[in-house]
Amino acid sequence: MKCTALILAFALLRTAAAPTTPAEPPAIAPGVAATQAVRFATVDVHIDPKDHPLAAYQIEITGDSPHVKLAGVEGGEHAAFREPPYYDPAALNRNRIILAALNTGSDLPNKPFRVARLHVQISGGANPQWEVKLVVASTSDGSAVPGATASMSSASAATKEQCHESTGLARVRPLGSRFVRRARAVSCGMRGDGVFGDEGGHCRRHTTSRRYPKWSDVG
Amino acid sequence: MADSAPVPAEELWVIENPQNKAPMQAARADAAELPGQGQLVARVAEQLVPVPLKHTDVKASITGYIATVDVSQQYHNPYSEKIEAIYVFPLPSNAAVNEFVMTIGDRKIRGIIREREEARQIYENAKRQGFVASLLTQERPNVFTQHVANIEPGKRIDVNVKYFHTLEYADGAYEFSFPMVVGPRFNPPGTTDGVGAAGRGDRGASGQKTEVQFLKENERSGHDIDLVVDIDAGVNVDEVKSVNHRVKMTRPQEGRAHVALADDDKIPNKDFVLRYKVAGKTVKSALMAQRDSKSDGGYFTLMLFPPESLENLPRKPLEIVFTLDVSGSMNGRPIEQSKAAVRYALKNMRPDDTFNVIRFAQNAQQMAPRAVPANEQTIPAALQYIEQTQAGGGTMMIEGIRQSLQVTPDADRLRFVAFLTDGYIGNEPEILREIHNLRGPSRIFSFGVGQAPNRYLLDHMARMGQGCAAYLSLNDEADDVMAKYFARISHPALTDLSIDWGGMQVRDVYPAKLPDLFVGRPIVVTGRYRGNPDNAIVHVRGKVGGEVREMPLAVNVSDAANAHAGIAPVWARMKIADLGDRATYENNPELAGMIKQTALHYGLMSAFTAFVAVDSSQRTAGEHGTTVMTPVPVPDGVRYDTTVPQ
Repeated sequence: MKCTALILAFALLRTAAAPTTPAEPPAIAPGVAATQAVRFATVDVHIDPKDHPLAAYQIEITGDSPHVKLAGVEGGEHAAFREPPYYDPAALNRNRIILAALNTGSDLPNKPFRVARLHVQISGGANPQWEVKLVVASTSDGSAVPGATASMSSASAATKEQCHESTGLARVRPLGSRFVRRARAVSCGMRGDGVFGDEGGHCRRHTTSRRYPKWSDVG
Repeated sequence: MADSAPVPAEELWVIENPQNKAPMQAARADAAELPGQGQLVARVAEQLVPVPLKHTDVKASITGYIATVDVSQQYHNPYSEKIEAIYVFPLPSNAAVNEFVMTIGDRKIRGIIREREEARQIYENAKRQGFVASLLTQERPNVFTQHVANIEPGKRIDVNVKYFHTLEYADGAYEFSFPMVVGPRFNPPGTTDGVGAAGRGDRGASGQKTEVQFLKENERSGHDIDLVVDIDAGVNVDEVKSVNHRVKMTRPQEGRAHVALADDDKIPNKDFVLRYKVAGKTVKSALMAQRDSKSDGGYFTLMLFPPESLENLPRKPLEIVFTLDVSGSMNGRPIEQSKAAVRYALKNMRPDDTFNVIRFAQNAQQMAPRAVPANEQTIPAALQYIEQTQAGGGTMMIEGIRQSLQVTPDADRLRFVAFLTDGYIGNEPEILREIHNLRGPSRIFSFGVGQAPNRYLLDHMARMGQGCAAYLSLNDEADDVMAKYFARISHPALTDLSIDWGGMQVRDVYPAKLPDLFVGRPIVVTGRYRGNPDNAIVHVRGKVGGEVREMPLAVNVSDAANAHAGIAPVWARMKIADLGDRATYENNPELAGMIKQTALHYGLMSAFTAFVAVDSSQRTAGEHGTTVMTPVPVPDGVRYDTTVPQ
């Protein structure tokens, strides 16, 4: 049962990271002139599983600037999530980053840790604003991790969390039933020079509700 | 198992790292020993060979008729200064490349799919600023270029590529192939966007946008390859045969086979081709599916086999044109293999058939002004004409195409063009466009000759020509390959195919125009479905002569045994291929955008997209260093002196 639930959860994550299926592919975001000055930076994504062993997660990150381009996704610092997570190319095409990963092992993180590192190119003097949403955080039996949170930070100031108030919530109803997953997220503004700056950022909290497909659909 | 080949036991390899490490000069296009001093080199018969690509590791697993392949390329810097490594390499032309990971030490960075130009700009920016970065671009559906920037001295960077593809099935056997080298290609005068050949260190000598540098025959790069294939057929696997390589094989259990390259056959200079049969009739018209959790449906592929009743029907009289590539790249064993195949064919024609022989290199010549009856006078004359043929010169394939297709059709005969070539040309779009425009009532059956033919060209020539492609390795018996060809054309094809999907709500089916079904050659159809159409009955209809035939097929998309995570990318890749074929002959500016959007949406390589990966966590010191092309050997059986411009 535990294994089945985990596989189902993984299937959801993989299919979430696989392309969605709109009727028509969306338009591509306008590019940035090659002549503009660019710099490269890293942004770390963290999850606090609140003392529960984290087996799977899905995170959605949105930025507000077309001048920031994702140029690579690296895995996390815990061995269970060291492999680079999958991303959804269709979402990326709409300027969203959806990351997902799963580990079926027994040595799972239960303390705050970096789950992924984003490598980005920033054009001109853009001060990108990021919003991170923890869509799914689950244990190895497929149940949601209560109170799990996600946050982002500049890797160059690795010891300094940019968003201390980050909270996220993913609630999942029993397998096989339709459910509404609620996700609270914070947006993290990281600005300034260098990576995403030492000036700190600002956070704003908001809540979204979305309707998701049945778990059974992904089996 | 491939025939036993001589082992180069007498080679002496001396690895050295000179003490004198002077700074490198800027890149010199004419430098024969790039990038300069301080190099860890392989010395073979006094030839010094740069080796920025050290090793390739290929792991393939086959489930049903879909292969999942992981390719790992290990780049390293044996020099005293930073380098950018460039490697032009082949993959199967139907490979749906959807993963790209760069590994630096124990850190892995997943590459991002981008519009091609956008990816290139990101790569160039990162390279200029000293970040380790990699870029994968597609030059042809089966030719790719890997760039790796800012490899520091002594450091190693791995690039992993993952793809899915459907297997070929022909004459009772599945065929898995992995190409290892891009052959030296000829480009007609005036061409600049082709794939050109140059000698090692002669960067830019070909004048083509994409260039492959070749090692001389007495040189080795030190680049070797490991390859393993795991087959999980679900039913008994029989007659597993490696056509070109010596292999080690184990059978862990019934229905499974593990095949690995032998230790003494690891030079990447020929296609790896693995053929195997499965027991019983379980392979017949198999459907594989992948549900899409975000829509009410999913993706499927259907391998559609011809009805067995075709084999009981006689054929009409034929007009067969044998068109032989006699250019320089065919010199030696390849042209002899072509001759052997045509000899067999000539001797097996019927008296009511007609034929002609056309050969092309720098220009095209034909044996007779028009097709002649196959009789006791013409066949010996043709055999003599074939024997006198010598290979040499350029490959003006377009001339061969025109002479083969620009004819007045014979209303009493079916017209087949058997095209025997290695396909070493760089102007594929022009050739395919000409076939589309001139084909008329002819069907083209392409034969890829040699150890590393241009399979993209040959497959698509046949596809455009409403025929089939076959491959004639130097290790194949030419008679066997031709006998299968004759078996195929000795029975009518099922034409004008259409599929009534019954209870399945199906859309976006590719290929959009279904090809004809020939004996022994199934086709793969892919599409998207809605709902949960279990136990649906699908009806395939076609015509034999003027008579309509129908085949019912039961399909079950929920059958877990037929589920596969690679179906969606395979579908998207087939859609891109379909659009790409249209783009060769259709002046529709929207096609490029449709290909690009499909590729971006599904995260796939295409002519208009590329993968880029940047490690922005740390800069390397100094300038980005010298660009080093990775030279490759000419394919086994191909002569350097007749193919690589001197």
